[in-house]
Amino acid sequence: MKHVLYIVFMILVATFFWVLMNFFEAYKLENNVIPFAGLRLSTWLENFRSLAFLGIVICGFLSILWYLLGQWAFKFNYWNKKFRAIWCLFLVLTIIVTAILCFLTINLQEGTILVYIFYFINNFFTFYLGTLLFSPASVKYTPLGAEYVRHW
Amino acid sequence: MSCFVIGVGGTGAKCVEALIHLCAAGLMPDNESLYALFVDPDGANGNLERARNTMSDYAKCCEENLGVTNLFKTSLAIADPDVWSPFGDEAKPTLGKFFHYNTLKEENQAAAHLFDVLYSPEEKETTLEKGFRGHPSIGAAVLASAVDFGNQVPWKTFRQSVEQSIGEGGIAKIILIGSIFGGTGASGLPTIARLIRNKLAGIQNVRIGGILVLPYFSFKPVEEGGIKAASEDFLTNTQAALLYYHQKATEHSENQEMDLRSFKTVYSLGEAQLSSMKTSSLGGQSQCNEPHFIELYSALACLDFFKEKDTADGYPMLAREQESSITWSDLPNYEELRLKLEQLTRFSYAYLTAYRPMLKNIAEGGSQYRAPWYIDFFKRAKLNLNDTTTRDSLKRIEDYCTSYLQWLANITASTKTPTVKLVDYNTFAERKINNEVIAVDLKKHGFDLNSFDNLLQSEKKEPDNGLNNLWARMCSAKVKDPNAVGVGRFFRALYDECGKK
Amino acid sequence: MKGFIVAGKSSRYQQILPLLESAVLRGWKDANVVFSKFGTSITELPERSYLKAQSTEFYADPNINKKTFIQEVIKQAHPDNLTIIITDLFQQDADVNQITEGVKAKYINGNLAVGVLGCKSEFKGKIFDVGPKAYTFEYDSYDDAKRFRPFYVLALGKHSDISNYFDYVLKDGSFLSEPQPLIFSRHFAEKLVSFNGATITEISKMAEVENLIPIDVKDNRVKQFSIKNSSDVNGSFSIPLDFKALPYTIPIKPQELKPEISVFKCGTEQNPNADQNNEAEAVRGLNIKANLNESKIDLKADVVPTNLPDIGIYGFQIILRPSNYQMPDWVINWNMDGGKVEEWRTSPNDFNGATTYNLKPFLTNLWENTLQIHNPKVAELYCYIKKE
Repeated sequence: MKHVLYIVFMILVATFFWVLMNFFEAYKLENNVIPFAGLRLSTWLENFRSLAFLGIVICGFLSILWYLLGQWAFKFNYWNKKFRAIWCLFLVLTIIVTAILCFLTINLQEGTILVYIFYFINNFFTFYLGTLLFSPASVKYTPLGAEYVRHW
Repeated sequence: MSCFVIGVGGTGAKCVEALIHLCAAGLMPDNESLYALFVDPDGANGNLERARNTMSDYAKCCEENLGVTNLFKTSLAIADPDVWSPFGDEAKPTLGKFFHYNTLKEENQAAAHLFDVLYSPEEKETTLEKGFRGHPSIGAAVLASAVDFGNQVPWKTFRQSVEQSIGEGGIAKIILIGSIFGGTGASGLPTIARLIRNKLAGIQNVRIGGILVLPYFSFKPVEEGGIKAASEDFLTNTQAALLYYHQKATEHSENQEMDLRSFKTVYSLGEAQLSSMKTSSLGGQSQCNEPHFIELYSALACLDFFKEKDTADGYPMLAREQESSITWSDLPNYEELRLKLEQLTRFSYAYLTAYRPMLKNIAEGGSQYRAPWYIDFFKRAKLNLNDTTTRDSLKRIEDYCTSYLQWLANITASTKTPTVKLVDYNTFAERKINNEVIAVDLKKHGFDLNSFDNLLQSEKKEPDNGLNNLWARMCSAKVKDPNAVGVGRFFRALYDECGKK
Repeated sequence: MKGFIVAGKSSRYQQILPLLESAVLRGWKDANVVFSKFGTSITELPERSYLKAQSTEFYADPNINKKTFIQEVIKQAHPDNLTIIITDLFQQDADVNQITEGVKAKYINGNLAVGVLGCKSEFKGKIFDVGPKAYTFEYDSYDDAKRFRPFYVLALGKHSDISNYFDYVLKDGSFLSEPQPLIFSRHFAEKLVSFNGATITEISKMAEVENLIPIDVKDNRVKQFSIKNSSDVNGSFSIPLDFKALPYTIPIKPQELKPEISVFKCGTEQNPNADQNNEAEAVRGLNIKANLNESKIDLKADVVPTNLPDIGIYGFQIILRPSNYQMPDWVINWNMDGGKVEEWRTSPNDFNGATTYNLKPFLTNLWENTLQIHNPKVAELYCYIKKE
């Protein structure tokens, strides 16, 4: 039951960033980006929403995968394995996903940096917060900074 | 304080060792404390040494603030001195010296002549620092003269503790354990029991029990000359001893000092097939025999004695189902026994294989995040691993767990026939090489990590994930008992989680 | 017109006469063609008797050959019909204004069009009513096309009817020498130019949006933008618009179109009647440059957010009109130099019969009347700009 609950919480974290993306970031971008000629702002925003959603889904999946590995795949009999390296690898994957999204996003005249920042926030923190707060018990302090935040 | 155990001789010491392990598992009755005392002229006896170490480890572990739990539940008072020798500090005592034979010859020739009749010159002159050499006649005479409840420690303290226990409204349950086929045990058991009974005559709330251990092992003849114990004499000695006890128990005598109906309850334990001990020795440190399952039975007999409020007179009986094997169901009260021993075994196993090494690694600078339980129980509780108090606590638990698992493995491997099917000791112990006899020692290079849930199975099962699951539970464990404090919270959590599957 | 019938030849004038009817019959189903001859008076020609105009006897009728009053024809013409007048435009009293007034009153004011198809034909004979003193000159064009004398097919009616009629005449009139069609009306294109099918090719500092007006309003004259409220950055966009000019219309020269911009501030649901006070300033928020290049209008817009007083949505109406027109060269070339009439009086052999007296003033007058009344526009566009 606890496992289901934690995974649901991870999904909620991803959902939070989806809501943030849809209602705050999209609004901000609407007022701050300028597409190139021939492209309407609404079309560009649609492109952004789709890619950002994909990024959040992928990074949400990564956090759930981390949970599954930490709970059922990793063996703590061999406690000297460096599971943090695996977590860091996943974290790097979120950055790679962000880079890919940046590449796939339709070019803008202005506001590109803001778009990249939003991609990074969505993807990185979906994974980071999900794992920081809801990693399974055996690896609950593996995410960087978790031992200062997590008390449950 | 209401439970008193006196281990007489080497066998008595080994049985007390077993009892200590059962105390660690929480098998003693609730709200009882234990007073332990050894009687052995051979203070350097290897068996005695091991038992004393175990008792000392246990006593230190009792100081850990574990809260209300079965682990190290029973408080232990160790007599001071913990070993009583009738010869005191005499380095090379002899029977002749003890009874001042030379003086006796000059002052009381009749007594001296009686002395000559009863004891051979060899018996009078053989040094007794390694025990009574398988001659109960020597021991009985010495012990009867040496015990003084008035001024001599530890007997004075023993008497005072018994009187205090009775004074608090409880029943003082005193049990003596020893072999009846050797020297010290055979002579000490009836003698000391009688002396105790005589001293406490008239006091109602005293129960005295005796565990008479019959032959269960054999050894090769000792090379040294002089009087010595011989395993081929065990059965003969046992027969004679049992006959003696029976006669004295049934004859009616108005001379209370000679009345040997001292024991309210007597447990007789033995094994038809004698196990070969790895060393043959007259005594001293070299007399260090591996634990045997009979000692476990003896300890269980102690528990049985301590649990009964009103012990009926008589002889409790126990047998096993199969001649060729001993399983859990052959042990008395095996359901509770198995449950608690399993928990202690899992605790010891887990601590030695995963938790203690991890703590050592962290103390040497290893990453802490790998062990969330470390952060929960140590770091956040501000317990420094390099602090002396913490370090000592961790060490003493480690020492105890090591001695417990070693004892458990040897109990299980003590005989080829019958086969003892209590624990799969191969997961954490291995046979010593180049020895003809069976002896086991803990593995040097890591335990089998896939058999945690099947430690107490005798047949091999599929690899399990028990240790992994324990780790996960430990990483979210909470200890709500306010009496569990400091490092004790960690031990308590580990022990509690080991009780779950 | 008698001189256009040249003995021994089939002049172009003669050849076009039957074409005038056939063009109607081919261009319109169930059309009813009525021919008339006019001069002093107007006489209807029954059935195919109009073909007698191909012979000189036709012109001997004293009821028509004494004076030429084209304005009478115009008076009698019905605006619902397509009226075709074949004339050399040499009018009694040489007063073309009378013609112009007539055309203006009945056609131009009525949103109808005037078409002129200039043709040249062989001529041998007298040319009457030359100049204000109505001189007569003898003229022979011989076989020299440069000396052919112009005559005109005036068409009065709907622009589309005139255009259609000219199409058929020209299609079948390959024999015609230098035909020059020209239509005066308020229409320059089939439809007013809009954003339909146009894509912005450059945009800077502003974004094209589509949520400023209700989403169910689909109007291809409208484009919507948003621009940030920034003091030092102007936005701009360029967009080529499709322009399909109607044939035979007067050329637009120069090619720069004149924008007329008006602005209104859009109200909100809470305040539908937005403040109108700052519109004078707001109109300077949008600058338009539009150039006509063959089939495209290159529109470039600059948005100056600092001239938009407040944050909100501004609606700009942009009307593009030609800034000027240029009469085709043939009008100038075929126009008789009035100053030389007296000179020719003394040297009749120098008379240039290949020109028409007062042609240019007549046509210019017609066009200017059209301009004055209709002020034709090429495009009508709307831009909604949201200042954020």
